[in-house]
Amino acid sequence: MNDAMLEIVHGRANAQIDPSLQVWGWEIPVYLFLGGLAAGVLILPALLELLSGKKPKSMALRLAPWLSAVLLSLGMGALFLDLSYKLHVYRFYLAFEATSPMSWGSWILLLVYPVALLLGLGGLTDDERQRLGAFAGKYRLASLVTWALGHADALRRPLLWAAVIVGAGLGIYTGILLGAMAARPQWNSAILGPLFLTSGLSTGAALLLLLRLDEHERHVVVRWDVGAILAELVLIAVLLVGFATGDRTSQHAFWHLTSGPWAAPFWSLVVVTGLGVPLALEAIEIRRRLPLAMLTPILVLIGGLSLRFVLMISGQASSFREFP
Amino acid sequence: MMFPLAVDFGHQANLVLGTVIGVAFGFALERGGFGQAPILAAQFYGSDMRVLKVMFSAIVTALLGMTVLSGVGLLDMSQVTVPETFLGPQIFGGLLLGVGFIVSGYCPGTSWVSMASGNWDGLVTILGVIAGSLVFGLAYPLVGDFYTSGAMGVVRLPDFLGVPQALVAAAVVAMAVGAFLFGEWVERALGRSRGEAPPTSEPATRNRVFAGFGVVALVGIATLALPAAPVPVVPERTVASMDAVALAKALIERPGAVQIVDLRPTAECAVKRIPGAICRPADDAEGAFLADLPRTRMLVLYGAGDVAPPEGVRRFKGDVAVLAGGFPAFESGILAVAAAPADATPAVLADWRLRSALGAYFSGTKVQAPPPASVPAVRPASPVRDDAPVKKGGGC
Amino acid sequence: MQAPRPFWNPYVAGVFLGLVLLGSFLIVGNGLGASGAANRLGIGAAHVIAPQAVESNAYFAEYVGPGKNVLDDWLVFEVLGVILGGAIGAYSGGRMRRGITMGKRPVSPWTRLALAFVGGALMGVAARFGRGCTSGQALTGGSVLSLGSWVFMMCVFAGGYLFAPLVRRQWR
Repeated sequence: MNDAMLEIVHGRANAQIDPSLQVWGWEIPVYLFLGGLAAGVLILPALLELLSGKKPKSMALRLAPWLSAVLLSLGMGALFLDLSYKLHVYRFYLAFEATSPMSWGSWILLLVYPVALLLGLGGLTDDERQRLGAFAGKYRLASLVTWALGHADALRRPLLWAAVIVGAGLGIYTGILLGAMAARPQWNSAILGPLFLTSGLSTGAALLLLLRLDEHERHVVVRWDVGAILAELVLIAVLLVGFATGDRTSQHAFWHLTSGPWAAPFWSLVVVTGLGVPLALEAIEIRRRLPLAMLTPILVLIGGLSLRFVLMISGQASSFREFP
Repeated sequence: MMFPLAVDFGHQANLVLGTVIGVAFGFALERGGFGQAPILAAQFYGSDMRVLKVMFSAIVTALLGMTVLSGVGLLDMSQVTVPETFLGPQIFGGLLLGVGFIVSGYCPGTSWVSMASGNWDGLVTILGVIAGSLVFGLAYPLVGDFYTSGAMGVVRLPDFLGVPQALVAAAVVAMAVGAFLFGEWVERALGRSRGEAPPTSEPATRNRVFAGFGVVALVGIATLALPAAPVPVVPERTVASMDAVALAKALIERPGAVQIVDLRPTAECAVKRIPGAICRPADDAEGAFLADLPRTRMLVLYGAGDVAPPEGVRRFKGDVAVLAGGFPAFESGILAVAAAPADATPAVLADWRLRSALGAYFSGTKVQAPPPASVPAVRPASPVRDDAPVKKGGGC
Repeated sequence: MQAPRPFWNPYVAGVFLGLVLLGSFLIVGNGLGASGAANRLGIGAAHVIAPQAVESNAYFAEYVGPGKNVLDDWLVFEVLGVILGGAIGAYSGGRMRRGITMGKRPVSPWTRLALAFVGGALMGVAARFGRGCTSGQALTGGSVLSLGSWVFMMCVFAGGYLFAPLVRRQWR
């Protein structure tokens, strides 16, 4: 890294960053949202299968790993739009920097694809496998498919664990990616990693709930979602307490989120609309055995996207420069 | 404690409270049956007077609550927002809204609830309301004169009629109960002639509600007998003057309790300012940005010298002070303290020590040694740490 | 599936609604509303599509322009809450389902939707002239005894009763 770059990334108050406040647009929050969603969609079905020991019944859960790969690709598309030097993207993979979350992230992104591909293949029914084999046969790829299916079945358990671990890494990475920017006090919190992971789990569960699930699966996923939302509320509380009891820069970040210009979107959209009301609706669903309202997962998804946008925009306005 | 409480909250907190209050409002409307068009429309065919009953019960409840609270001096009615009266446009708007109500089956508020319950007609009604609002805006050049005609300002019935609010409230209660009984009679009479069953209603519940209204209305009238509360004297918003040392002490001792605003042009403010100060937004000389600042923190303003605070300060609800001497005073007095004169008296030296220590806190340098009694101090004042080494931040 | 829960007794629902309104007055100092949010949403959408045309309009210019965010308003956040509260109420009451509400003698769905839109548009215009709708003007202004609000409220009922016979087919 040259000196200018070093200063931008690690300097707490520097001229390249502070007068020009907002340098990231919509692409980054959308990428963080889709990345978290991909992590949630990858982890949840794998965990369910590990815990129950049975392959999921519904097509949505069986093929969820592929959905995860698609979501991640969309997110990376948004990230790619944000890159200034798009042709230099390969350079991420020419080096590995053990202390850089970006480097870790780039490699985790690459790991997701083979895991998701094989996990999805292993979830296919016999009927679907035959059709896939016939389709691949047209292009003389039948032996490749047979080979991949064989490995997908043989390695099912290791693959499930890999999905959980890689997915957790992906979810945490989307949070600490922001923390790597030292100049933004509001992002310098270790809580962001777990916060974005739990948010990814709850939005992932919400997305799965929008698809056609088996009755039993739906009950389980709703309970997972309730757990993730509760954990997210606790983490937000911890984040705020951490800011409130920190030094002046942290207190400024606390002010940003409690009475500053982004307080209303944060509390109304993220906490009330995205967490509190879905939690209430899901609690009603569990207690009264009502059919699930499609509104609930939609609210969770709105809340997850708002969380990224609010933390992103208000974070870029937080600065060490006000505290020399 | 004095109501309304909002006087002490910021704009953002009000918005969040708005969401929470809105949740309760939407829930109440839904439970009242207002999410379904046929129930609302039935009001106008006399088969179910639910709109009348719910709406007037709500008006009476809120009115009585405010009457009693202001009667015992807990609520300041002058702080409550009262819609202004524009007689002509409101007569026209009311008639037109009534027509729109019976055509669509909703009023604007209930259409949001209907949409939330999954009704397409609720959503379409909202789209209609939005379209109608835009049409009004587009036609504004033509209808603007009528729109602003008949302006009477805030007119409240007690003032208009010259009757105390408690008596007006009691009259409203009597009228509402009369309307309820008449409405139920209409329901029964029309139900008989149409061969339909009138909506069922628990007489005991109804009677308890009516009795409650009556009792609270009497309590409201009783408050008239209380001695009139002394008219609260609203203190003139005085802007205190603060010197640099006091400000520096406040910043160190109570960092969260002070909010500093730099009134100088943005270019100067961006270069160097008092630690923690925010720059006033460009082209906002009146100080409209002050409305977004927390009222719980003392506001300290400063300029390039002794300056008059912006107009907006008069409306600021918290404490306000202006830094005497402005930024130069703080810079020379705290941030870059000149060496103490050699022939300083003990009092001057004590003052110098204090300022030097405060400056050291902000600039992160060592406190200057006091001058030896005879040799003049040669050590230059520490500069503000503009050229501080780049700190390696933790992040990962 | 369970049968929907019955609605509350209208007087009880009214008292509850009145307490919410009273709470709003006591906490934030103003009452409730609904049409203002639709107005702002519309202006915001129009501003995204045709910024210049909107900013040059004398009425819209009050809402948009440099340094103004048309959605940064109490009513917008309150109506967000109304939607959420309505959804909680409808869901817990077993009444949340996609459909179109109809009167006793069903008309075709498209007729119903067309009437809903036309009625909505009339109310959109009316709410601007009236400085509010049944929530912001009649309910809120009525409870603080505003002269204009009471006149407005009486006119709403008058307009509804006068016009009701003409659209009787839709409802009865």
